[in-house]
Amino acid sequence: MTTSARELIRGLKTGVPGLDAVLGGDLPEYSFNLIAGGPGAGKTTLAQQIVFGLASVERPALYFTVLGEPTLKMLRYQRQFGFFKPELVGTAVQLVNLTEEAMSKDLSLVLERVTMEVEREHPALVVVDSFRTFSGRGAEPPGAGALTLDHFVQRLAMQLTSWEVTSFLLGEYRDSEQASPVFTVADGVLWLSQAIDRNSVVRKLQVLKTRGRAPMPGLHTFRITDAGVQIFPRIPEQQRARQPQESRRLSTGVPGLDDLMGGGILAGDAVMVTGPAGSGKSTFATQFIAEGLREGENAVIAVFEEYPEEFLARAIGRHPEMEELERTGRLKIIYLRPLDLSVDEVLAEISDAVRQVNAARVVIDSLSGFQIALAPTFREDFQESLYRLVGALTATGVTVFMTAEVSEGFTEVKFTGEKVSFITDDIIIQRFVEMEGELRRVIAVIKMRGSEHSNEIRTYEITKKGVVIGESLRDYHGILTGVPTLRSRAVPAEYDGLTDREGTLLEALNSIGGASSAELAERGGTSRADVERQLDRLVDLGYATVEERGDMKQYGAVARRGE
Amino acid sequence: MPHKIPTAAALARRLIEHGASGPDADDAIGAAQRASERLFRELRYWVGAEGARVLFRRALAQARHEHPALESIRLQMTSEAILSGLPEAAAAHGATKTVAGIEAVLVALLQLLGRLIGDDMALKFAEESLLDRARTDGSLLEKRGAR
Repeated sequence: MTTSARELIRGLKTGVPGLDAVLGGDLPEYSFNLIAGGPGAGKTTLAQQIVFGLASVERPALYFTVLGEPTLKMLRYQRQFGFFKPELVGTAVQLVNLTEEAMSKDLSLVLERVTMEVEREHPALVVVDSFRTFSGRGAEPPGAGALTLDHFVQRLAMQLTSWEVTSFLLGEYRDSEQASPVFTVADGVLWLSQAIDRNSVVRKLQVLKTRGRAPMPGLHTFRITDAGVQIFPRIPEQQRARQPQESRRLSTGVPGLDDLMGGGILAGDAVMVTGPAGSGKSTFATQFIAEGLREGENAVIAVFEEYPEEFLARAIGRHPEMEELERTGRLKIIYLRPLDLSVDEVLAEISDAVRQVNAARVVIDSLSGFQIALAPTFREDFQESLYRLVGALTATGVTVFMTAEVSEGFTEVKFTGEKVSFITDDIIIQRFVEMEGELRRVIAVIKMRGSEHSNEIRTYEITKKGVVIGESLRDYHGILTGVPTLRSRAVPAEYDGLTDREGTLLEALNSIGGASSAELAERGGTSRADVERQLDRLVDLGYATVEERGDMKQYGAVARRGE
Repeated sequence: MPHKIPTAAALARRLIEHGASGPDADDAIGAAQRASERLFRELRYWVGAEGARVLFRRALAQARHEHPALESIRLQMTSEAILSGLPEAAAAHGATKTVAGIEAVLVALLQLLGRLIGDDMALKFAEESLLDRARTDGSLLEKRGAR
């Protein structure tokens, strides 16, 4: 297609939130469109919103009403919507009632009246609502020479195009009727439907066809509010233009946690903290946000399990500055609790908030609450929902910190019966263990995509000032069982120049006389790479020897404690 | 709401005055009839003939309570002359009372429209009717019927 040919089809921005994106950018001018769906699907509301969004004195609209909804009732209810502009009625938007012609059962008469009105008013936009009621009149077959509904639509389409009119036919259709010739004639087809699952209703829009544009595939959820129709595109704009990931690391704001994470969280990562109730997940998340705010980064917190006021009140207890930052718009807390949300709505809400405050950090607290807030139809496919949510958010360059509640095994990251660990870049796990008659909290970083991290299991405490990472539990084994036992007494650093861990390793080497790195790693319950690093240091400092045995290295101790 | 009544009354008066060709009483009835026809034609264009008729029927029923002159006035179902029986009403009750009755019908109609779709839209319908725009007035159906 040449540039000049492309310019022949100008686009009209409909003004309906989300619609232009799913249409592939805009609505082609002079296109002949069908808005189809069942009763109550929102056809009239969508058409009126488009008309009131596009119509002006220079671009007038003719809105034909037929037998369906009485015009008075339509006006009464439609004018409740924010998009309805009464001042445009009669000037930019003419409503014309075709009931008499439709009652005549003669479609040629209807066509003649439409033609007459269009030729007189010279509209740029025409809506026929709802043209299918014409077919409802024809219980008896049309007589010889009479116009059938298909012929009527075909002739109307031709005339409207020759008049240089952008037009919409509204009609009630069932799924099985998508093979109707009207669908072939139309340049664009918008299909509206409602999915009912238990107590929840989710409205969906699909662009079945739009000539001259590449529409966004799939079913897009939409909601009808006082403002009118709002469509939530399945694939947000930003996901198609993904931001390159930075190599910058963000501090978590939790003393000691950055060291476990190889220096902090990579900007643009999705981090998931999982742990049982009371393990301090929200406290971690709050510290992550507070640290960002301190660094000059704005933030969004999406809460699903409690009211924002409650969340903020708790956060202010440890981070008083948050109150002012929330008031001045650097921090936005959004509350998403309804039980019939679509993932697209959640994404739109969070994305809008991110744009509003230009956020660099986002917290979702929690994924368990997010799952409950979704309509049942989306809960069934939670993995995909979460994948889209996280993918779309991180594509904008923000760093996403999510919390998730677990009550099962330590090594297996589960919180809903669905494995979602593949969706996140980094995973931090928390759990309670019993040590010396006390319940202690422990933490470990088990995944950091594309980055080194510590394999240590560390204790942590929740203090009045927040979470602080504590000691390493290298002297215990069986930590994952929840009841760790002391393997050996911690050895004080009595070796000049050695760390505690290197001292402990040297003691172990002494006690067994000699061992490979693999044997020592297994005995110490730590990684072989860590052990080899420590052994290299022992050899360098003259505390140990190394002997090559084929592919293996055998280590032996040189010095004993006190020597 | 009481504050809407003066607006509707003023509008109805304006519609009738617009249809008047002189100050004499005989023409006052003609002016009232023309005003009602103009408003009917406008409403028919927007909401259909059936919709326009039910609005007039309700307005007529409301106005009859206080205007006995309307007792003999009927709705026309087929032609654009929406009200019939005006000469009979004038003969029985006098032209002034008959015109007052029709004006009350128009006031009731505009108030009804205001309650249903808002005063601004009711005003719009009334003002559009004053423009005497070329509206389709059933001529298509009538022409087709004559063929």
